[in-house]
Amino acid sequence: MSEVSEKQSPKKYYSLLELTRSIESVIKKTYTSSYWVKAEIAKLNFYPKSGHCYPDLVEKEKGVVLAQIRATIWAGQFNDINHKFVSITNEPLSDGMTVLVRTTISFHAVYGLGLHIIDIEPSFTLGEMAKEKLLSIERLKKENIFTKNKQLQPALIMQRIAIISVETSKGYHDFTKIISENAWGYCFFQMLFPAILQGKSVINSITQQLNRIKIAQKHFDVVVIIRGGGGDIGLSSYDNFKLAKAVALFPLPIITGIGHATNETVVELVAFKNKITPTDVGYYLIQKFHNFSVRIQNAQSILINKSKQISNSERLKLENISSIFKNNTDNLIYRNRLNLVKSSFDFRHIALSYIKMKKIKFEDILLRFSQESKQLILLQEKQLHEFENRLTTSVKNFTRSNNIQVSTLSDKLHLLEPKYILKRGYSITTHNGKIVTNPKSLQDNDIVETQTYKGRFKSKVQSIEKSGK
Amino acid sequence: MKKDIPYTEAIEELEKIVSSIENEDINVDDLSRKVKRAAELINICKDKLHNTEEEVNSILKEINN
Repeated sequence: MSEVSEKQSPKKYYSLLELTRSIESVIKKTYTSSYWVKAEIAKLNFYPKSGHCYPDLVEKEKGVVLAQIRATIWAGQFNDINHKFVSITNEPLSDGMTVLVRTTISFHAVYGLGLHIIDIEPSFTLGEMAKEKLLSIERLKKENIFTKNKQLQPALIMQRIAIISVETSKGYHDFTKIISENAWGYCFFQMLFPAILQGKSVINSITQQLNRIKIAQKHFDVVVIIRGGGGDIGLSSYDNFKLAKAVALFPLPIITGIGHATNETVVELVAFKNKITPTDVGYYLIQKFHNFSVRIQNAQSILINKSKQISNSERLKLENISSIFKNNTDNLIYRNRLNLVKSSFDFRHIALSYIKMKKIKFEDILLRFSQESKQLILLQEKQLHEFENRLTTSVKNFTRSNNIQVSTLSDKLHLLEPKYILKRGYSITTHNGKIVTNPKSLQDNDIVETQTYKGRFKSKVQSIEKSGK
Repeated sequence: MKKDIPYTEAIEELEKIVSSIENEDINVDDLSRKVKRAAELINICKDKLHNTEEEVNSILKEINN
């Protein structure tokens, strides 16, 4: 094929097919045999239905893709190659693996340049990508920071979320939908920190946003890195040591959902949790709320049950005591009533027998009294009678002895009578009916009457001689 | 009782109360006192599930200063 001269006019040109046929023939002439090629399978692109496989082969340096070419493993060879690979590595061919493959180079006018893989050397399982990743991991471990983020004590409920994502991405949309429309009314606070999540810019972009979040870290419980879909090639930056270190050392737990299901990147490995998809990150956070809510509910139900149980047992105790009390008092009352009845019966009995006894005694006394008094009367009567007799006798004796004396005295008394005194010449003078014994009671010219034995006469007082008496 | 107790402390205190009620002999007076406190703590915790006081603008202000 000769050079194109721009000065020539009219311009000489080739049809596209002529050009591609030319390229095809050059390639066929140049690459005549098969070649061993070391490459990483960025994406395997295996179609189970047809059995064909169209791996994207890449070569990278420090995470940056330097070369990329589409390859083909036809169904007929894929089984053999994969079987051979698995038998040695214990892993099926998959994304991210560096392989040593024998290829032929072909060019197709429609499909372009491609490699046909016809054989594989499984000992080359660790590709450049995996090597870098391993190196990153080793370094992180060596610096003792690999598990730093995992060791953080997360908030019981990760409620305040700093989201590193792309506002327009499906992943961000899925995530916010799940947490803000949760059926339990759990309240999240979310704030987006927009970042570029694919390609080489990832490292700086995420690191920058992490620094911003760090300034306001007291307002957040968790950082989520959410990415929706995209190819594996764009993820090589997530194996970057610098970024992984920033994630590992971040003071808040970081949860990743960058949608890469086949092979965990270093960032995902060092993150607090890798939930792979944004949706799963959302469910994970909601689950934390559930866990907290369950703790509250458990506490609540135990409280209610235990309280019921305790108050029931207290009530039973009380009922028991009050029933014992009732029984005891009933018993006591019953016993006392019995005693009372018995006592009153006893009392009546004792009283009656006492009265009866006293009555007998009384009757006895009465009887004795009447007998004794009869005897006494008889005795008295007897004595009286005796006295009477003695009296009679005494009187008789007395009378007899005194009879003589009496007759003498009688005679003497007779001589003392006034008649005999007057007869012997004595008189009695009276004044106004009163016997005069003393002339002092008389005055001159008083009329006095004098009684003599044979009669009376009146005389007038002439003078009064007063005797010395 | 203060209401601004952090929910983490609230749930811990709540579970402590629950375990004390579960595991210890407790009289009725203590029980009613503890249940009352537990109810407060439950409210604090439940409130936390459904409310937050953070505000985007004030955080942005903080970051940009």
